[in-house]
Amino acid sequence: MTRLRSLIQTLMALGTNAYLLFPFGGAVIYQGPLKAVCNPGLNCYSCPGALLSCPVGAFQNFMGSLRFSTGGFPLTGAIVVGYLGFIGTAVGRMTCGWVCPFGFIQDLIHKIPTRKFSLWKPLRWVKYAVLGLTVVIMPIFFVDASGLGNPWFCKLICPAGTLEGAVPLLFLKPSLWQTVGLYFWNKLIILVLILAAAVLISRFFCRVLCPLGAFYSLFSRISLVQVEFVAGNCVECGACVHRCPTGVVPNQEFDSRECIMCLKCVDACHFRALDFSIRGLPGKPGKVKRATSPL
Amino acid sequence: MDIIVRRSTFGFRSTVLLRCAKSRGGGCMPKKVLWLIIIFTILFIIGVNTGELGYLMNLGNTI
Repeated sequence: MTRLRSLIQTLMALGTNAYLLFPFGGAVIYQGPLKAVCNPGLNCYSCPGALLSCPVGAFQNFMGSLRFSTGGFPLTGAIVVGYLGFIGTAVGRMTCGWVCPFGFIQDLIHKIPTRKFSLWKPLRWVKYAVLGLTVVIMPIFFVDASGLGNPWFCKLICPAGTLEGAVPLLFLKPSLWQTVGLYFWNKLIILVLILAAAVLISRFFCRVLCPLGAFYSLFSRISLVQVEFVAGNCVECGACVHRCPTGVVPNQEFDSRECIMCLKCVDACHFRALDFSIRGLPGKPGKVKRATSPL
Repeated sequence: MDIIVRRSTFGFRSTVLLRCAKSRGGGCMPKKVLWLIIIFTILFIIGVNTGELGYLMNLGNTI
């Protein structure tokens, strides 16, 4: 399963950033019809190779345009909410574990052999504040004279934007260095800190700061895919806990909002206490459909 | 029947609760999920029909 996941992550990261004409096309990012489709994961719109839109960036722009009314029907971002909500309801945070390019990057750099640390659990709640403040509230209320809001998450925090968009663009198009300002250096420092944290703490950004992960996590309890737990088979060996990249205790926290459905716990369990299943389909005898958990 | 296991704070002392499958959607797609999928699909269609698709394509100049 781990190999399959790595393969899908690689294909998604390369496939959604497959615009290779950037260096030859006058250094212009792709703006064709595929940009009308959002990437299910966090992938910067301005990445030189990006074929799809960033859902977080797109939603912020919709929120930012709410007060910039031109008299017509306001653009509320319904298309992005509908799209992400559909994905969230169908597969929840499996998107984070299987297709998100920035999650894949974090998985890769976490392989660097160093001492690893666990995350202080209350930090998990920060991502909901990031989602509410920088993606929804600030773009609506912090507007310029014309009433147009800014994509504040992209502007202040987004490490994916810096790594996949700003840095490659600056190397490929040196004239852009003239436009570099305080926002860029601020985000570069944030990127370095987040990457350093991701080496030490597995999936640091996904667990603490990612607004997309926060949105998808709202569907963890109801999404169609789930990890089932067979209570009778569990011998509490702790193998699943040891393997979980997001610090979930799979045999205690069912349908956890932190679970990215990487299925490492299913692989790790030699007693078949954990299994991947589709919610609503008849389970095998003795399987747990769901249970309560604080997170 | 759905089986719900609640773990106690002290080790593995689970309380197994049995609930009628009918109240939770039973063996087909849970009702909640079905409704959410319908709602999000409608939202998506509303977005497409209000011109958000074009706006999304032109974002390259702003992001």
